[in-house]
Amino acid sequence: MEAKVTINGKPAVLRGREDERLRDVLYREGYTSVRDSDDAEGFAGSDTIVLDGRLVYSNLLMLYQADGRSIRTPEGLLRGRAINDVQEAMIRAGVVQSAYNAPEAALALTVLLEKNPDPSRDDIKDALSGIFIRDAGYEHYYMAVDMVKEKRKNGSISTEAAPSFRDNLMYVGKPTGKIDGEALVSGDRLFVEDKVPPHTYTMHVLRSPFAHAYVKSVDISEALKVDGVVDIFTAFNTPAIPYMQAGQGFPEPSPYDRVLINRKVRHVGDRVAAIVAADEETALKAAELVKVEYDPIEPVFTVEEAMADGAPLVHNGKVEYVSGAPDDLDEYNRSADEREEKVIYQFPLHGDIHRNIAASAHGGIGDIEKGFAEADAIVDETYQTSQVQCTPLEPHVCYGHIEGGRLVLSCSTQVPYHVRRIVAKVCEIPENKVHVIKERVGGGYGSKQDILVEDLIGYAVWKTGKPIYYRNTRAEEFYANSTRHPMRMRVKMGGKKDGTITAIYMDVRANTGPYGNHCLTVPMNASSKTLPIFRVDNMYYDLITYYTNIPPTGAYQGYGAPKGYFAIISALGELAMKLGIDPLMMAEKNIVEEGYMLEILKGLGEGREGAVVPVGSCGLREALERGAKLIDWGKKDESPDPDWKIGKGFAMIQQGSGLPGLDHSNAQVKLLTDGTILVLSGGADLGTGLDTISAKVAAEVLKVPLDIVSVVSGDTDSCMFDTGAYASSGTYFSGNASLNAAKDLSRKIIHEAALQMGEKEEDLSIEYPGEVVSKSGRRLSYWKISHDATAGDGRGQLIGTGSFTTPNFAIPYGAHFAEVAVNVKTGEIKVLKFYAIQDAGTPINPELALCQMYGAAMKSIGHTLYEDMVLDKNGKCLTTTFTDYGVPMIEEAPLDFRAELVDINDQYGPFGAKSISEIACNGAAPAIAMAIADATGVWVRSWPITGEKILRGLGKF
Amino acid sequence: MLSKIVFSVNGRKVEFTGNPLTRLIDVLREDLGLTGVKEGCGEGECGACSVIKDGRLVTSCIIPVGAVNGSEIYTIEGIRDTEKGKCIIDAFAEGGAVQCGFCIPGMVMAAYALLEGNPHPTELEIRKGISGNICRCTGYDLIVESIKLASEKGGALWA
Repeated sequence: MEAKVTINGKPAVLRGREDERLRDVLYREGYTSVRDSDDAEGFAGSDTIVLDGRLVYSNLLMLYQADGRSIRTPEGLLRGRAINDVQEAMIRAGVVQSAYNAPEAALALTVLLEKNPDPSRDDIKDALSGIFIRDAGYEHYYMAVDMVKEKRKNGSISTEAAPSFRDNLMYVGKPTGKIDGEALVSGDRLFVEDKVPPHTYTMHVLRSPFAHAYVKSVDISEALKVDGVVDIFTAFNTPAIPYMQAGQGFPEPSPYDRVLINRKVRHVGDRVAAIVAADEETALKAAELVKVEYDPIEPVFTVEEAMADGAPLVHNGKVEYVSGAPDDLDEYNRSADEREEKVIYQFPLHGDIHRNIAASAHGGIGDIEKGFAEADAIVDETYQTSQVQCTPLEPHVCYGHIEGGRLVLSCSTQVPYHVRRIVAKVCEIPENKVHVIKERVGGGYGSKQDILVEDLIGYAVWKTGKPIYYRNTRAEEFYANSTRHPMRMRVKMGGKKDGTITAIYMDVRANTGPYGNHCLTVPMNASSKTLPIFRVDNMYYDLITYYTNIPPTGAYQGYGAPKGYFAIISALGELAMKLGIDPLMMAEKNIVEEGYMLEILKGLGEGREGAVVPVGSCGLREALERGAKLIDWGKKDESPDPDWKIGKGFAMIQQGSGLPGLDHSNAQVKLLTDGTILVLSGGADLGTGLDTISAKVAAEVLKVPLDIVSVVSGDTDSCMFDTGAYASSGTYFSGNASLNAAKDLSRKIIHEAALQMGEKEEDLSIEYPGEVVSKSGRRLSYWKISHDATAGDGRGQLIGTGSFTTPNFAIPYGAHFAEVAVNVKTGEIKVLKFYAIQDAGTPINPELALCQMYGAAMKSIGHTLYEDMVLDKNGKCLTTTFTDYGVPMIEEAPLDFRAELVDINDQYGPFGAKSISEIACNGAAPAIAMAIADATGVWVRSWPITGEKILRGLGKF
Repeated sequence: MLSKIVFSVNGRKVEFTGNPLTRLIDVLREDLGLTGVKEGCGEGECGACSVIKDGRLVTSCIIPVGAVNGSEIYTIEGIRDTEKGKCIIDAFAEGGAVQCGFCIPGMVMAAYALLEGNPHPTELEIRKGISGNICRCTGYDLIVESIKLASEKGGALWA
């Protein structure tokens, strides 16, 4: 049909089937800011438009319903390329990050302000109530509206979204806005889905209905006859090359325990066949004709089931070691099953697949038995965390095609160079044949550290020669993706009446699910990111990770630390309660400070011996003191309603900044012919502002205006190698590489200027805005230097290169405080206050840093109170929509929500910067658990903390 | 006015419903995704859009789709994986016939049409065979040599 509509004020005709989703028609017609992130569930609001003046989800409308009506999309907010004042304010407030929903939020707030120029906080909350924001939290949206009001009143915005740091610097430490903010908030065509040309083929993955089964046969003969089907891949026609999907540095601390399509399926949703076809309809038709014979095996789902005597084995293939094989390996492999994939360890992770153990580790310092003997009181409790998912708004997606005989992959990834390596391996081609382009990433949070779709798409494109676009459904994001490892942690902690902690023991049992992605390192983080915050002489941990048949696990912002902190800080609170002392005093008595030697790290080296280093810059004590003051620690608040009990809690936290000794970043900074600057960074900006960091450090070093610096990043052809954006490495590693490259360029500029000016290098210096100045006062602009260097008789273009590796740690610290109210009749929980205080060293982008703290705190409030993947008895995930799964919307944000940065300078980070956002996932669960215990006396030792668990603890049923 | 036009492209049946004056090249490129058919001039002069219609070489930019009702069309996509197509393409690669490459799909179609009718053409016949195809890079000599090579290497293939 032809629907006659008005779009953004102009008459237009929309063509399509009457019952086609309006969203799909709008996107096809070029209104590409109208996106879909929930498969038309009507939840996340990426598809928000204005229909006759009202905000609606265009996914829930059919084309015929739009006939004769007026539509507004985010494109209509622009005048040419110019953004409107709401969009400008959003950038300044720092809420434009991965930005998949930012254009829709801008539209919603624009409409709100048209109707009501002075909206209340509740009005703003209502306007944004249908838009899910995962990256930046919701708090600074209120600030953005205030900024718009100010601009409309005074003509300009004086409000700063964050304080400024480092008076001696121009851009670093200042809220300047993200350099790609305008493009993102405008809804430009920046994501993988926007790069797909017409006539691209699609792929449908046929997935296992069984949690554990041998695939006996797959008959594709009938399916191949369907007109439009190009090819179908199964375990029986693809190579059995062992690899694994975690995007970790090679050699990885995870076993190679899978091939492209396995002969044995190990979870509901495991790959069985991949159908390449001209369109989705054809692929689905073919999928119905694929005949699969399964031989089901008893599954195991929990750590307890996996460790039981005689438990079915999730992996029973041949085990190999690239190095460090045990002597009895041949004997061990005698019972290996031919039908199973090999399990190859790059080096020993102390796994034992015959007992479903993927990896294990242990270590510690001092003598814990002696420590416990000295204690006045001991707690010994077990804490359990559930399986949760990152839920990036943009699901996992990949577009691949062949160009010039090379495989080109447009990806939404945190690890472009690991994608290149792993895809090359799977396709059995060298890396020069693969070009990976990291597009803008619509949310990663760890789940895009793993190569979960690129392997299959890369292989299919290389085999068929066809251009193929693939995108996970939202349901597939839950059951065929990666998630937080569920973990069971026993913590035994002993302390004296004066608050001294005498010993800590942690026994971590982790559930890695069907494959061993991050099977050592995520669980290890539960200890390696928690124990080093304590100045305690006797500490020991044991860790065992088990294979099971739950949906796959992997990396999620915070890695294992949010779980470890939930357990260890809860135990600290329980111990303080038992001793009758203040838990905050107890924490402050036992924390590390600058210069303290972290002996504990020796036994926490993730598969190798760890290095003992001193604590560097450390704002932990300041963070605890500031948070205590803000929340009025020690003062008991009471509700006038006796059913509501109010309590306070806190958590002290740390993370890391990348992986010293393992991570590696490179960058180039080029002087262009007109004297402007291009930074080529290997770092993968996933919306966090890493490109802005590269631009700022280059502008700072080269003393030029920020807007003459552009950044290209994460493109494996044009940029140099970088291990990727994970483990909080972006600022510290990629940022330092850009810094080093800019310094190298500044040296080369001075050298060239000396030759051009006939001066000595030592008499020259660089000055703003991009000039070389001699002692005698002569000046030469970058334009002139570059012009002459690249002239016919010039000495060549000036390019600085820099790499960064380090043995030094730049550890961020922080403290999160919460006040909650619990209704002891109904179990209802309200987070009244949440204060996140963190030490990020010099926050290079302070407004983005604050918003990442809000975003991370919201994610962790999510897993603390709401989010939970529920499996049925056969291992099928039942919570595969946003509504069922329970992500927090603006309504769930704490009533009083604040993030603050402690001013600390680090000696190793670029301009003193440390990492910011992962650490912010660590505080909510323990702080809220402690606050609930303070309010009700009940310690809920498993997340999500629900009203039911509290009422059970209160003996109500 | 809408018409239904039925024809075949690369051996598969195609039904087109729309304006019969739509250019064949647009139907091939836009509707069918056969982007090997290139538009150089849009006026039938350069041959970049060459396709084979019922055995004859034609320029698809000046043929209205209404004129191909019932016809059999072959584009580069339809011949490149055939033995004959591969023979020509390999000869072009070996003979150094390709520089920027924009004219090459049309040039290969011209060579194909030529060799189908004349397995062992003389140099003059080759030059005549590609006389409707402009190449700005090579000066034609290596293309002519390559077509000769295809004729020799193909041998019985063309007979």
